[in-house]
Amino acid sequence: MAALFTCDEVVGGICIFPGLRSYALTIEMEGKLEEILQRILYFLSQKEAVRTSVLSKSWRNIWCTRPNLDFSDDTFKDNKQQFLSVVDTTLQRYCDQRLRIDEFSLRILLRVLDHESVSLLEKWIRALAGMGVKKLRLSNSWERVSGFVDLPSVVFEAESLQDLRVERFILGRKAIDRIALFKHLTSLCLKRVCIEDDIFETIISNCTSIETLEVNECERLTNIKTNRLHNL
Amino acid sequence: MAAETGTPTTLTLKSNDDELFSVAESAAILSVTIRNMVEDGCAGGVIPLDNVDGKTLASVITYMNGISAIPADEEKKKSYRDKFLSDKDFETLADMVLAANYLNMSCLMDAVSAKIAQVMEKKSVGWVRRKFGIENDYTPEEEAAVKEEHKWTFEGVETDDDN
Repeated sequence: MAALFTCDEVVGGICIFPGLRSYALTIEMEGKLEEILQRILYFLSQKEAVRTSVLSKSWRNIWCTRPNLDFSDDTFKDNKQQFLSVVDTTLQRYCDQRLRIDEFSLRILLRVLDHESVSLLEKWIRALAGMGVKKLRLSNSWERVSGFVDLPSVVFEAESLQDLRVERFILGRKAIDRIALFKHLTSLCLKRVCIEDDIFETIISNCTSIETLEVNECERLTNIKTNRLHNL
Repeated sequence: MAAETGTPTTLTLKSNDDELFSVAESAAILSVTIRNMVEDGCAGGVIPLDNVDGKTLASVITYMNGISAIPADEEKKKSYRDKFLSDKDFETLADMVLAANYLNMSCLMDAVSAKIAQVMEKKSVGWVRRKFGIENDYTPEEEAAVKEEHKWTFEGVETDDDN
């Protein structure tokens, strides 16, 4: 096969791989090509996925519906405002169009006095919780413990979560005020999180389905009781 | 079936360019498409795979044999997949992703999709168009407008001489 995706006379309106044409004509290809592309796009970062919109008209909107979003402010150099705005408008669009987001990954620089970012983060997670997000990765790129911010309590209200990773946040009493029962959460990872033993214990007792537990460099945590985690 | 008789069953697969391949049933049924055909009673004769050519099918069978020889150890399976795909060029990967989709082999499909995504990273728009055989049907003005709309995605990306 010389080239993958060509664009004339293709079934179903999407033509990605030209070599697929014969394949397209032999089986019911409606949706198949898009399925393959979506799978490839799944493995791209948000930046790479959005850039595919420039390839051709049929590619223009393929990235728009992928069920995983992956943002990092590293890709925006010093333009924090633009980063916040891109994440915000993207999430808003998913909400407006009632699209699904299964996985959301965010790496962002947050500092104590950065009220705008912190309140946006809370808003985004609330939206994601409403959309039934399954996998959530939140990472603060701020290195020094003294500047960590509190993890928004809404994280622990997102009952649909199956996989949660939190890096460089404070996980205090406020964060678990309205903690839900996480029936589906099978994987939890805390890295450089400020958390006390009793808070950890409360979380664990609400996540009894955990199969994988990873705790890294959480200095204040001295005692990890896992006897209630029967699936570990 | 192999499990019932104790002797390994061999299947014959036929590519769309009429090449025949023998493969152990236990390896071949990694493909849900083939497994369904076997369950429907096709196993006695030749199993025709109308959407896979001989070259690609040979490669897929190498993968089937390799991965099914590894015991249930996800780490080892992953490293086998990485090694298997490491020397494949873009055209081969493209053929493999189509074959994996047709044969309904989700692990191979994911591994190849991830590899294609990895190869696409930071590549210029022109490069991806050439490799994927995508015809640019934007007018220059339309293309400039889409680029402007997503300007942030072009930072640190290779540029095209011919673009």
